[in-house]
Amino acid sequence: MIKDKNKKNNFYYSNDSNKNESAFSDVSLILKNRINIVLKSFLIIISIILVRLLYLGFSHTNEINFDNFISEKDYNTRLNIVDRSNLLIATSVDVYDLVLKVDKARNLSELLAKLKKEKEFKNINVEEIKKESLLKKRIVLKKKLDPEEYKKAVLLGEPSLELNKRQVRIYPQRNLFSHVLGQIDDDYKGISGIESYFNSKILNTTDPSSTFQITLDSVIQSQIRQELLEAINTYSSKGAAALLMNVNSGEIISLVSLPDFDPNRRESLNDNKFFNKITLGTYELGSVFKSFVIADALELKLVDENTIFENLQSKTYCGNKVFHEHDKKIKNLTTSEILIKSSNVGAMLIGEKVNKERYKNFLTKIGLFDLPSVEIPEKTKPLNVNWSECTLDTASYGHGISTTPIQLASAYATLVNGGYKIYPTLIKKKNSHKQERIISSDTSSRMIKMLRRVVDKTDPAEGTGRKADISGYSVIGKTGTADKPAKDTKGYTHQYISVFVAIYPEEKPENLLLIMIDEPKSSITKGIYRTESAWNAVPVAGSIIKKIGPILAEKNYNIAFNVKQDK
Amino acid sequence: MPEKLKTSKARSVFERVQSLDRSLIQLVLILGALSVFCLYSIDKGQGSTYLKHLLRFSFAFFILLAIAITNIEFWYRYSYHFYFLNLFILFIIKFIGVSAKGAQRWLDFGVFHIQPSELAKLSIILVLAKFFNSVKVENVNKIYSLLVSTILILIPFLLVLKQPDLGTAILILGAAVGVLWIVGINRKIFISCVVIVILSLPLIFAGLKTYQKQRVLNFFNAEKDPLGKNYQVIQAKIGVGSGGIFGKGYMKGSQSALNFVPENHTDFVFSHFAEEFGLLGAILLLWLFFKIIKKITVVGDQCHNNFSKIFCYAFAFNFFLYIAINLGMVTGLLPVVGVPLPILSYGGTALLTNMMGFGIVLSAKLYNEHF
Repeated sequence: MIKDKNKKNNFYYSNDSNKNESAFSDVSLILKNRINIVLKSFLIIISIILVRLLYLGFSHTNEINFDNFISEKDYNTRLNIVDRSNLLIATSVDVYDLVLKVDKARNLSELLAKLKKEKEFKNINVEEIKKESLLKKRIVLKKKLDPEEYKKAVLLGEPSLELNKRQVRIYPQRNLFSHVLGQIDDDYKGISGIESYFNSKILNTTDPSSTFQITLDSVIQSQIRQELLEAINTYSSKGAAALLMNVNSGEIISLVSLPDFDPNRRESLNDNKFFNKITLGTYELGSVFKSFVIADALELKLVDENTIFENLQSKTYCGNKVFHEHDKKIKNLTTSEILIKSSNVGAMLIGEKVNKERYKNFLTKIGLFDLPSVEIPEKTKPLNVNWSECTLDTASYGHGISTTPIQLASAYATLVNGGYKIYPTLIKKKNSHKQERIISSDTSSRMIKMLRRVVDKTDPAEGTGRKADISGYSVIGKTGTADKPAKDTKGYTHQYISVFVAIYPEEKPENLLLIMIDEPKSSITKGIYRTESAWNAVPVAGSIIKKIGPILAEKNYNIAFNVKQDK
Repeated sequence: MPEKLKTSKARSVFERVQSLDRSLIQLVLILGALSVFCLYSIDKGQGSTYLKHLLRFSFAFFILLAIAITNIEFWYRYSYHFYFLNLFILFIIKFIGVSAKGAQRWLDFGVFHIQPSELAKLSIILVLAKFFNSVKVENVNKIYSLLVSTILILIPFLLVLKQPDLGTAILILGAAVGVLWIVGINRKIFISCVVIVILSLPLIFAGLKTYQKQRVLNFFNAEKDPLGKNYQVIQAKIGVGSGGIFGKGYMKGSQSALNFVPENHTDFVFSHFAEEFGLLGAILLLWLFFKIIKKITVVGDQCHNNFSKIFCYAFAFNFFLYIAINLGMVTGLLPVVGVPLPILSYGGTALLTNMMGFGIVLSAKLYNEHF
């Protein structure tokens, strides 16, 4: 049917008739016109494409955009932590993990074979990954790519390979701030120290360029840590700790607890090196408590500095318990001399004057049994003491009663800062001003004078702190040596904790340095004949003050703190 | 005329090959050579893709010559047969086709996978050329011719669309519309069609496959999902953009050679070409394409019969459509619809149909006097 029609109407047989001839030329013309339009539009489209090519050439898309390969899944930022002079002590760096997106891989075996051929990734376990690919959508092929591996991964240009950007926490000073800064876990969450306590403040803040500042001073911290390391070596001790604090504001300038750890490494937290001796350890700290019983007695006006206690025996009794004095001679001592010579029997007599209830209240009020206010989670509240018959006697010279070194330090700050309670802190407070009065300023200044005599080399009483009397600093302080309680049995071991609280200057106390040495040994070859505080903690404090004194004087933190001085 | 016919038939194969249009054959050979070099460079001289392509090109070129020395009357006579055979294959492919990348488009012939949808582009041109050859010029805009041509177009279009292969379906439609345009269908009809299509766009979009929708959406929102669906386009654009004026040099392109541009052997071959040979190379390539189209239309001008004329023009238009859509796609001006660059792209059937088309054009010229 169609074929017949074709025969009839076919334009082709051009020589059939004139009519067809003209029809053909008609059609021809139409065709020609129409195809010319097509040709013209082709030229237009070619020019459009050329313009587009020029545009692409000049636009900035002509660089390989590495960002296309980077995902920021689980990307968290943590603020940099800086010390009080804005020195970086904790920071974050970006690292990249090579991630395989299983569902985007067209041919997994081929892809893995290709990867394995590259020398950067020759360690990948093909079989393991294939097994994993059945279960997981994203497989981490390699963590923390180095620059070479990163470049190679990008140049592979595989859409199924992704570089997952995440941050890694770096502590440039390694061990220096370990107990203060703490550590973070794999989810980038703080698990100890400042990192944990201020986790929400440090993590993912709106302003990532800001920093988180703490009150520690890197230079002083490192000086003190160095001295303590040497001390551990000299006295063959198990450990040592130090705290440097401003007595007016409670700002901690240095906190060292040895042994310490490198927060850059992730280890089990069970090791004793993670133990913060200053805030988490509770110890019977010995004679340093004598200051409290005397301060209480002065405050209650039961005694004054020159009250004489006569015929002090070398032994006293509480029930059937016997207390020994270091010095075997029977003697008469004034209140000052009891403190300077650190007489246990003398302290007990003062304690009896004060009486149990009042002394207990005083120790509580001055904060010795408080949970430390310092902003780290590793801290403890000393156990409640069961005040039995003889507790008053022992507590007068610091036995049978325990506290944390940091609370001891803050109690001493109260004794010397005019009588105000302070709260140790790692964070700069804009206006920290003293409010809660514990003792009168008169008692405070009397205590300062007595404590000065403990250290004063020229004092005829020959105090226990003489080795820390660095000229020019008029150091005041009190020593303490305590037997460590036995762990398994009742009673005490022959191992000591020796502690020295040094404060200077006498005229207007500012800096409090607490030194604690855990189980110091005597060493005759080194000229160390005894194990009491006077022979170890005191000289260590002396040499630290000698080193940090000029630095502290220059920085003048007391002014920088903007502490309102109370008259 | 019968005498002339005899003399032509009497001519030997060699003589007939010799009297073919040399310039068109040269242009096609240059393109073929370029494509082999390009594929060689993409694989950095490794692999056998370029050899396969060379083999296919040679085979297709042989087909081209065979068609070119066959009288175009053969195609005139059998265009309906060819068309219905093609429809039949498109229909049965639903049942015996080989599935590749989610679409049933391929027919396995052992050595060659043939995409019948590609052949449909050729057969639709042939059948429309024959149809309009039979329609008097004053009847072109009559309802009858419009209706018949619409049915002829819609059947293969819908079959291919159903496979699903949007790119090829659009090209079939494009080729067919090209024919309608060339034979002088009233402009008003075209304009109203365009209006109707635009109005029904939301409906069409709703009927698209998910991945097709994705592509269209991605086109409008390119950089949002850089490693996702639009990855090809972004990387291709980078490849095109990084070439500069003179290009990075042969075998020096990094975007494509390092596999940044997926499918760079096939649809995105231009981005590799532009990266290595730069703006200048791209201009030369486009000029080459233009020369070919111009050449085909010149052949069409010279033809004494409307069937050959319509075929040449329509094939030129189809060729133009391929290039425009492919380049638009690679340079990010159009959504990715899977249209190869003629001759240059790696791929069997598209190469074969294009070479067949060239063969018919050459035959139209050779047998202009002897149809």
